[in-house]
Amino acid sequence: MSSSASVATKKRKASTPTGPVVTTVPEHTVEIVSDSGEGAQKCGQIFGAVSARMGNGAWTVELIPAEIQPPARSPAGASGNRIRIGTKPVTNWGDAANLVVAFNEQVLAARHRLDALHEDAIILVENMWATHDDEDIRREWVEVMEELSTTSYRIVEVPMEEQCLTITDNPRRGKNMFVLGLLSWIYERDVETVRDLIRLQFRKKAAVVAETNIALLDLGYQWAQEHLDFRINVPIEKPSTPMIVMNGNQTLAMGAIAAGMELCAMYPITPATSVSHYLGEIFEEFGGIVHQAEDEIAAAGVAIGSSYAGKVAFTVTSGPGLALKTEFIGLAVMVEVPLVVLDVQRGGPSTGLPTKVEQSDLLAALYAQPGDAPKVVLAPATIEECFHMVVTARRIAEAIRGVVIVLTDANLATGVQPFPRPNLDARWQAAPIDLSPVTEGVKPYDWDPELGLSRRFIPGQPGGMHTLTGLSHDELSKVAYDPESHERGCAMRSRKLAVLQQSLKPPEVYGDPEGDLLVVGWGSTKGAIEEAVDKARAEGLRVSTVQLRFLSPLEPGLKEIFARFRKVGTVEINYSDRLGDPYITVENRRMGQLAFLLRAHTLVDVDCWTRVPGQPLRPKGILEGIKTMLPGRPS
Amino acid sequence: MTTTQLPQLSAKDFGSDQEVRWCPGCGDYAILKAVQRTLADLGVRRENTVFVSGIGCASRFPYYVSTYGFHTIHGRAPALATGVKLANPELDVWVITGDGDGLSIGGNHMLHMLRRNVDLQIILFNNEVYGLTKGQYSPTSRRGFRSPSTPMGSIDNPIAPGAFALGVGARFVARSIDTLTPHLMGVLSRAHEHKGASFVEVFQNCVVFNDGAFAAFTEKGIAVEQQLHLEHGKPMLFGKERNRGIRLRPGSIVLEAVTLGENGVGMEDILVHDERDHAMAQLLVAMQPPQLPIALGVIHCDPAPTYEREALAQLGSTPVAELDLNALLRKGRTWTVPG
Repeated sequence: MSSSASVATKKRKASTPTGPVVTTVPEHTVEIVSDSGEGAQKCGQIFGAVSARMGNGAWTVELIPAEIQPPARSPAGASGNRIRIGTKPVTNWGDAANLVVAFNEQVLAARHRLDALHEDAIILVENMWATHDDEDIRREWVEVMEELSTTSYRIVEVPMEEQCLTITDNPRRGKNMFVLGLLSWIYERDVETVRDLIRLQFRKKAAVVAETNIALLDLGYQWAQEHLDFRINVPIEKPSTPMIVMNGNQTLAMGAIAAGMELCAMYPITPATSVSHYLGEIFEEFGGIVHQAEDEIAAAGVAIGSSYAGKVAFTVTSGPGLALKTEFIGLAVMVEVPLVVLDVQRGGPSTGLPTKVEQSDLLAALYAQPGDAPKVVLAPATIEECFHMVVTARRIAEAIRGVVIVLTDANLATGVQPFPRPNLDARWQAAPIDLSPVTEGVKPYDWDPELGLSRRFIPGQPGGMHTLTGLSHDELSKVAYDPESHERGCAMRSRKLAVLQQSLKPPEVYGDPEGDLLVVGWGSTKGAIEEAVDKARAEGLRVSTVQLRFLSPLEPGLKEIFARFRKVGTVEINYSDRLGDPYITVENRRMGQLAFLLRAHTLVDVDCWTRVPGQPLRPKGILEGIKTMLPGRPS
Repeated sequence: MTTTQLPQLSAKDFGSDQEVRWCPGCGDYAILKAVQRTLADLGVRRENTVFVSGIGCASRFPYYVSTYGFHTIHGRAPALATGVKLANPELDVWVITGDGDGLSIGGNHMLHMLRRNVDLQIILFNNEVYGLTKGQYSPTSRRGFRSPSTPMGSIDNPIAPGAFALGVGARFVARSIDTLTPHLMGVLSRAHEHKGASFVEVFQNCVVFNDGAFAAFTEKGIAVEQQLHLEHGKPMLFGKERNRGIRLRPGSIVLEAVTLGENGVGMEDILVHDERDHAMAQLLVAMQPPQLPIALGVIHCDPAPTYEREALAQLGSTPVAELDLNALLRKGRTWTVPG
């Protein structure tokens, strides 16, 4: 109950001359929530970054409302960050928050109602609302405090506004730095590192801006020191190699540069756009072009046109954009022009959940094209993999003269995680295209009859003149509607994927190589699934997991791996029907998208446990899913 | 670029070994011939030339020239061509499109390619009908046009391609007629010479689905009275006797056709064509027979910096292959945790 907590705080303050109690924990999860626009995200990003820089394991997730400026003090507008820090590397956002800083009681209530808070969570809440001039606001405050009175949260009221007013006349723009100060004291962060990051944040503004923010930081730190009786120590184990700290979209951008990409064609779409922003900050220096096209379709067209003419090009988008690019992707498959498409998935269908995570573009990536259009689909499982996957995608696209779609998601896009700093390898860059004159008789599709692979030549190359076409064609790229030519073209374009699959290794199983249940995941769920599997195994359940990076072609050896488990089930962030729901039968049940794919390819009766909460899956939830899928239980 | 003497190519050298599959009597044949002859006259290098097209009868064009070509998807040729030019500005790119491809499904891309001023030539074959799909009305079909999809007549107002191009900021807009070969070749040469997006509308007769659509100004006998052949710096005269002219109706911004010597009209009243005059260009493209002759030739030409040149000028000079990624990974919002 707030008032008593408040009293208790004061009491403790008076009675703790010996200093705060320091609790040492292996990990802690912090949430900072505010109205949109109050800067909780900035505060959270810096807190996460400084924790990672100091050597803690860290994973941050943005809590984003869909609108830029939702109404103030509304639960739907809760915006901010969750930062999970640990002594060991952290691979997902965890289950419940251990400490929450809330800029008003409404956004706090929103997190409470979403079951996002640990039952013993410590809550630091701005208390200006309790005594606000507006009677309605005072009443709302009381209502929320009553709602929370049945919980065992420990609520500490903090006079953020009042304190910030001593430094700035616009606390709305500065409270986040005060809060950063609070957190820096509580978690024993290195304040000089925090100050550096604030300076970096405001480097393009007048120096006074950074200094004001630093003053607010110091004020928060000092207030915490004087008023709080607890500190939390998450011990640091310094990593043995230099680490780099980035979010997934930034990592994709860096990966694009490392891969030797020369042109990024895009159209603004959440949550993918920032890839091009990060890229734009540095790309031009290296001769790279970010081209904002007139629409998603044109972005694909510009990328294909550039690739056709010899530049290493990619396009970046999210679900609705992927849908619009469908026909152009089909063209790239048909004419065998290398193309990399990055799809930062969000919730769908249609406009769906623009800012929120989902893994529901898998089948669209694979099968959206009318006609048979085989292409490669990859899914990085961690932020680090976002970097290397772009390199892999580029290399595959060129090696097979084809389309590679990389599926990340909103969780990876905005999540921040430290990972070992890559060292540039020249082989990551594209080899220059052979521009020598084309020998007479070499065909535009000189398919190796077994491999389906062929050399590509580009405009400007003497002797190679030909017309590419989206129509069915023969080796000479001449329109050919006869049955043999069409069969052959389809076979050659498909064969390349089989050849690629032969070069892949079977995936590694996490846990025992045999057991009762094998959980199969793909993409960003890896960390949460493995944590859930660890918990299940600790309970004695015979569960293992495997995370797939190649969705098309699938990694080899799956049937063998599956055969060693009594049951196989996927965990995914997309929609599947649940048996037992009205009208749902085993025949009409909509399956998770990976489950659908695995069933088709392996003939194994793969089950699935999927959810579409618009947020990353929590290990606790996945553990429940594991239990429902364990053989002998109804799913 | 190499300075070795190149063999002189003829129009025939720009033909391909593919059988041309347009309907007998289609205006496209004449345009193809004019383009091949123009390419030969210009002495372009086949390997540096790319024809990019969308979908439609006109868009089969790339098959019939011996350069590089790309028969893409419906309406999207401008986007793809923009990518080609960004990748390699040295390539000589021609976009081939039709009224449906370029102004209906691909109108958006056409708009943006023109306003960006990508350095390429666009030939829009305007036959005011969908040919490949058998005769439906197009965005340039006139009101009342009966077609399988408009059995009671079109109620859409047609778009004027030239006015559209001028409206979205094209710096080169020209017009010709399929069978008017020498004129068309002159226009194509000018389009090629122009640095930037060169928009050429060609009135092209579809013998099967819209025969005679342009008869009002192409029929023998009346053509000379209904065509105004514009030349920069020359008075706007037309007619068999060259005694008809265009002037601004006194006290207005409306064009009218007048006869020299009648009602006190003298040469001083006749407008002199200035290709850089954007406002006049808009009046000229709007002229419709029989009240006014159709304006042909280079209606507007006012060069401006090209998109790809400006894009490349913004780039740094470090080749991607030489970049120091490790330095990059320490920049801006990235940092490292000392190991």
